[in-house]
Amino acid sequence: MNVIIKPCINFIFSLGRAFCFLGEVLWCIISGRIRFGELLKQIYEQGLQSVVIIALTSLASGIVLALQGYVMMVRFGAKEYIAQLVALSLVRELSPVFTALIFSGKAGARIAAELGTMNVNDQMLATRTLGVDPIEFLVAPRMLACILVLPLLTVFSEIVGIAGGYYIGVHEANIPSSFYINQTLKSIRFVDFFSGFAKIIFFSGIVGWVCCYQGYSTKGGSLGVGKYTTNAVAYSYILVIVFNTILTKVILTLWE
Amino acid sequence: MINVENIKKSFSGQVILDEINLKIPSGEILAILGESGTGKSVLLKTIMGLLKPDGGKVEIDGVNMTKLPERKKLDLRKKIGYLFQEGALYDFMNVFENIAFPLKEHTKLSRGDIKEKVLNVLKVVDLEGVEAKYPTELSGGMKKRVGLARSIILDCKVLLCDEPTSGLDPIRSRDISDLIRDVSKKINCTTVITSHDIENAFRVSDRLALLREGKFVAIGTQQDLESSEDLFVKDFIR
Repeated sequence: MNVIIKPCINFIFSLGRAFCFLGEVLWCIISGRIRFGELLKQIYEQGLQSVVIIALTSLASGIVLALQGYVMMVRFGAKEYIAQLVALSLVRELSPVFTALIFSGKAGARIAAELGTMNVNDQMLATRTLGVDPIEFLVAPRMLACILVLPLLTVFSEIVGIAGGYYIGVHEANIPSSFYINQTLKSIRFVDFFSGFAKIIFFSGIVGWVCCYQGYSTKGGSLGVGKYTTNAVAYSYILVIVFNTILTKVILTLWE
Repeated sequence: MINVENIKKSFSGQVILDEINLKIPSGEILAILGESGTGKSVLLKTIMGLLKPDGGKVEIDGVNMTKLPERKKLDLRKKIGYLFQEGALYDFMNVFENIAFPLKEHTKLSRGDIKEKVLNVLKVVDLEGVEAKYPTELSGGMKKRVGLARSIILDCKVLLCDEPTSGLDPIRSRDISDLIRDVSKKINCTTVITSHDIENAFRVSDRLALLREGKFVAIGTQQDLESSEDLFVKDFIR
């Protein structure tokens, strides 16, 4: 019985600590204790670090979607709908999810590893001994940067992905350029953009929270840093995928 | 003045500090001695308010540190310097930025004044010319001296040093010990040092306290400890 109860109790306590941590960070942000210098540094680092890999993945996604769409739709004589297929798939689903996953693997892992190393090297403790709140100085700027950068990267990813689809649509499927652009713009309604954007706002919070919390609670030296960083990425992936399913159902139920 | 009263602390059922009592008058340098793992660092972190004791209280200049909420503790810590075993310098800041950090956080000094203060304190710890270096480019002894410089930059009233001579060669150990004593006397702060390095503990401190199995087995001057009849004390300082 102990084998089941003990891990359950541990899990509940861990969850409680994670929520307390989230509460502390949110309170710090809400009460205006934001260090803009640190925030800008984090926005620059997190954004710049992920922009190339997100551009490549989004371009590839747009191209593959358009190629597959062309092969399938040409059978039904509906190749004109490639633009809609690419735009809606990217805006509603693929860009938010892919961007969140890539971001957590790149910038999220970095956040967890940085905070974890500071923790095991006593830098976090040193911050407290110097009369400074480590949540305010080290954690809040990272989490806030995450929440701000990820939606921007997603919009960027959507644009690059649509550009990839446009290239295939115009040059492979021989769809007129103006027709493709027109179809793309016509197909994306507010609800389509909003559903993707609402998701990414949620995912950015999850990635920031999970990665900062894992880094903040790291212990056990260099091995611990490796373990907690891996946990940060794994938990972010799982939560993004699970919440994507839930949010998709909620959004479709409410707005469609 | 630091007043430690009936402090109790245990981890996973293992008692580390067992109703510890200690009074350290203002301006005194006290060395806490003991074998590795006897709870010297735990006591220091409890005094600093980094660890919450299971019982008892710690008063610094009459303020009960154990009862304070975290934000008030952060305020009080501006008056307390803490030197970590490995320095605990921010590795994303260079030496200058590390030492200037408390000044930027807690004072309204101009850039010029901050620069002047940092260069002065670097002179005190005998580390002129290293301000642009990053912690990874420094030796263990240099890191400790930078850590000390950062701890004293706000002219602290209390200085807590966790194993300041561990991992250093005998010459560097003596240098650090002398430096702590000089600095402490110069800024007239109450200083607590943890160590198992007897020679340097005698060198730096006014009084010593020997910790064993969660309790102090001896508190006194070097002469008091040397004349003690307690077998453990004799064995430890031999």
